[in-house]
Amino acid sequence: MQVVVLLAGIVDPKWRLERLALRPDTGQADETGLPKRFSPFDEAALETALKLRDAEPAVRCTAVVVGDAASDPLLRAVLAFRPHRAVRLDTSGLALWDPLAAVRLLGAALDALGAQPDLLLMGREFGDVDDGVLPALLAEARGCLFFGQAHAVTPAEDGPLAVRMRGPREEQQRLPSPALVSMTNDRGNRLRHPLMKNIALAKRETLEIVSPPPRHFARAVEARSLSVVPPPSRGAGACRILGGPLGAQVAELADYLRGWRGEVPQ
Amino acid sequence: MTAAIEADIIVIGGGAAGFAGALEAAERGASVVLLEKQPETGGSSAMSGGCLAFAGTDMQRAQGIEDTAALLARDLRQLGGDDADEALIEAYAANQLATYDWLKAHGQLFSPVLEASSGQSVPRVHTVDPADMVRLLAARCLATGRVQLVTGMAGRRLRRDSATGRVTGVLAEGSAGPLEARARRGVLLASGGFSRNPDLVRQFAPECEHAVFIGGDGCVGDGLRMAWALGADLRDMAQIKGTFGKHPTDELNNHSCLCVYKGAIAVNQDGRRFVDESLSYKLLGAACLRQPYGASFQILDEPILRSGDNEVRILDFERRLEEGLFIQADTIEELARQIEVPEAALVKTVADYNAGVNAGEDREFSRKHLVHNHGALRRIETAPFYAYPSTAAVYGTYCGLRVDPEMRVLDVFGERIEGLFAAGEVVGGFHGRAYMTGSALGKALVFGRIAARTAVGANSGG
Ligand SMILES: Cc1cc2nc3c(=O)[nH]c(=O)nc-3n(C[C@H](O)[C@H](O)[C@H](O)COP(=O)(O)OP(=O)(O)OC[C@H]3O[C@@H](n4cnc5c(N)ncnc54)[C@H](O)[C@@H]3O)c2cc1C
Repeated sequence: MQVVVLLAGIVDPKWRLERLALRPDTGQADETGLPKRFSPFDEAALETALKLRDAEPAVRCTAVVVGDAASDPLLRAVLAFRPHRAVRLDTSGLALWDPLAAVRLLGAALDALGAQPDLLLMGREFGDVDDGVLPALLAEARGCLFFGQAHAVTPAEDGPLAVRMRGPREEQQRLPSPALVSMTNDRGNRLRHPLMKNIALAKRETLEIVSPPPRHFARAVEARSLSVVPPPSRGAGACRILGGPLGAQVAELADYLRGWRGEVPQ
Repeated sequence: MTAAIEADIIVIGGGAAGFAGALEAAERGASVVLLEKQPETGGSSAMSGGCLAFAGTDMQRAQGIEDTAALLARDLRQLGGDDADEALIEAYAANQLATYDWLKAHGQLFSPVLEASSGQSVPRVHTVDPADMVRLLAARCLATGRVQLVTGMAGRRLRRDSATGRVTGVLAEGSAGPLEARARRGVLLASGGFSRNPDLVRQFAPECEHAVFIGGDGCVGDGLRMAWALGADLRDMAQIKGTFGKHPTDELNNHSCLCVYKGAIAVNQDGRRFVDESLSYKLLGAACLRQPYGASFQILDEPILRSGDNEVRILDFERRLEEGLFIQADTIEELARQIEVPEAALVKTVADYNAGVNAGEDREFSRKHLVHNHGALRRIETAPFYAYPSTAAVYGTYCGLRVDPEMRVLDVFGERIEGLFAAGEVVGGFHGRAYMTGSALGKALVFGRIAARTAVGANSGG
């Protein structure tokens, strides 16, 4: 079984975003120099692929990191988990916020990889700009069965089983080939830590970069500008930092708690 | 015009040493200005494991643990070897119990469980919430009305009287510009170590290149260099080592995890042990960095995992298990496959080790105890089995300025640099070769108070 996991990465939210702009004459965000990391959804998708690989010798696991050269550190991070193959799909010139264009590009890329995946895995949101529609659109375009927001995909004799929780219910779907599953993060699919040995080996490995065939991916959505919205100033929301002498703060907090009935909004 | 400020004592650094020194000085009637480089105080002290090495405490007595200043000093001597300064060990041993009582009198709370850790013959790790402890000392300082705290203000150069050579103050710099801080009685360097200055670390310990570095953001060796520029002598610079037990890829936990001190063994990527695991974790760290990839695995079984102590950060195994940091398997073979070490090698290593425990003799590395002279060895035999990936992390630099037992800084000729005192991690000579858990934070408090007493003239000869 061919499992392909698509990974986009996001700008690392640990650091405050000071600047953001479009690259001149492109529809692309200029993320030069911004540290990137995988989102929890990316990580869930990757861990699910690794679990399938570990469980079934017949599973071939390919990881595809989508991005430009700035994403190479992410590709090395993936290599440290030793999928059968890991490639970066060069997306220079494409903005993921245009889902139709992105679907065309990802489709062409999969063809360029020569991969005929039985199972495509991706995070429930793909990169910083996807609002969650990309996985479903991609499934539709590739003629895959789509299963969204899964918590797990487990191997079984008659085909892998995708599982998701909907409130108190658990839903299961036997996956035919081809299928596309978008993953949500969950305790059970938290990404493992790579071994030091494999991190060291990954540092030395030659990276495989695949560029989709030059084709014109007409964009339907054009962004004209992009900027950082400053976070709301302190005190703008319902929360307030208590001030004044410590005793007064304690008294105010105690008053508040006394009046609080513990009602939870329905 | 440069702004100026004056006090009896100028303290550089707002960690445990700085606040302990400031409080002690203020309690003795001195006025103090404490300069902290960062916007927040705390330094490495606040992020530490909160383990303090005290001996002969009421807590130990209540738990039937026999410990004395003499036994503590013996352990320190044994660990430090010839490199440790006997006079500093004596100073620590003689003053630690009073510092424990002083902390308690100031309202410091200790976790009820006492543990034995690196370098300790008996359980003497007294654990505090380290950030709370620094906050408590800071609050007590301010309550005296004699301590002025200036944050965001970095000491840059020591000022000396050109005629006498006495240190008279500090030129400091903050976002608003320079500040001349004049000291009537002395300057106390409490600026911590330099674990966050890789260039300086490399200068003294190139073998630590692959270690992980963790410490307060401001711990880059400013105080060390300021005193160095005046000719201060340095001690133990060759003793910088990583501490064993840091998960190499986990960025959430700053602390080491020492399963070995509860009975685990350490193996390298070839599945072989490489050291007597009961040694000081500083020596384990050095041994680990010499293994392939500078990394290893602590191998343990279920009972050892459950024998951890969730109140002590370096022993809180269950929490790390919940965080997914342990690799778990039902058999040693399966564990070996998961960590990609040769199965047969790991199986043999564990079997040989267990046989050694049965026979009362570890043929390979002569390990006799869980940690230092404490605790009987245990077999690794009950599934599930666990591996904790471990490398070495430099949490502290354990070396620095040469001081006399009154914490006066000495120059390269062994002469006092008048008016200059040092305490905490900026001081060298105390730890020597190896390291006892709780002796760095302990040293910060104990030596900080001694330095303050000397500076205000309360110690003999001060
Ligand atoms: C993760 C971790 C865990 C640890 N666990 C333990 C433990 O459990 N037990 C133990 O004994 N030891 C432990 N240690 C070591 C111990 O915490 C330190 O050695 C000790 O706290 C040092 O105290 P200090 O006051 O000398 O320095 P710090 O607490 O580092 O304080 C120094 C302060 O000086 C400031 N400073 C630096 N330069 C300047 C300047 N130029 N001007 C003004 N201010 C300046 C710094 O910003 C900092 O706030 C640990 C260390 C780490 C990092």
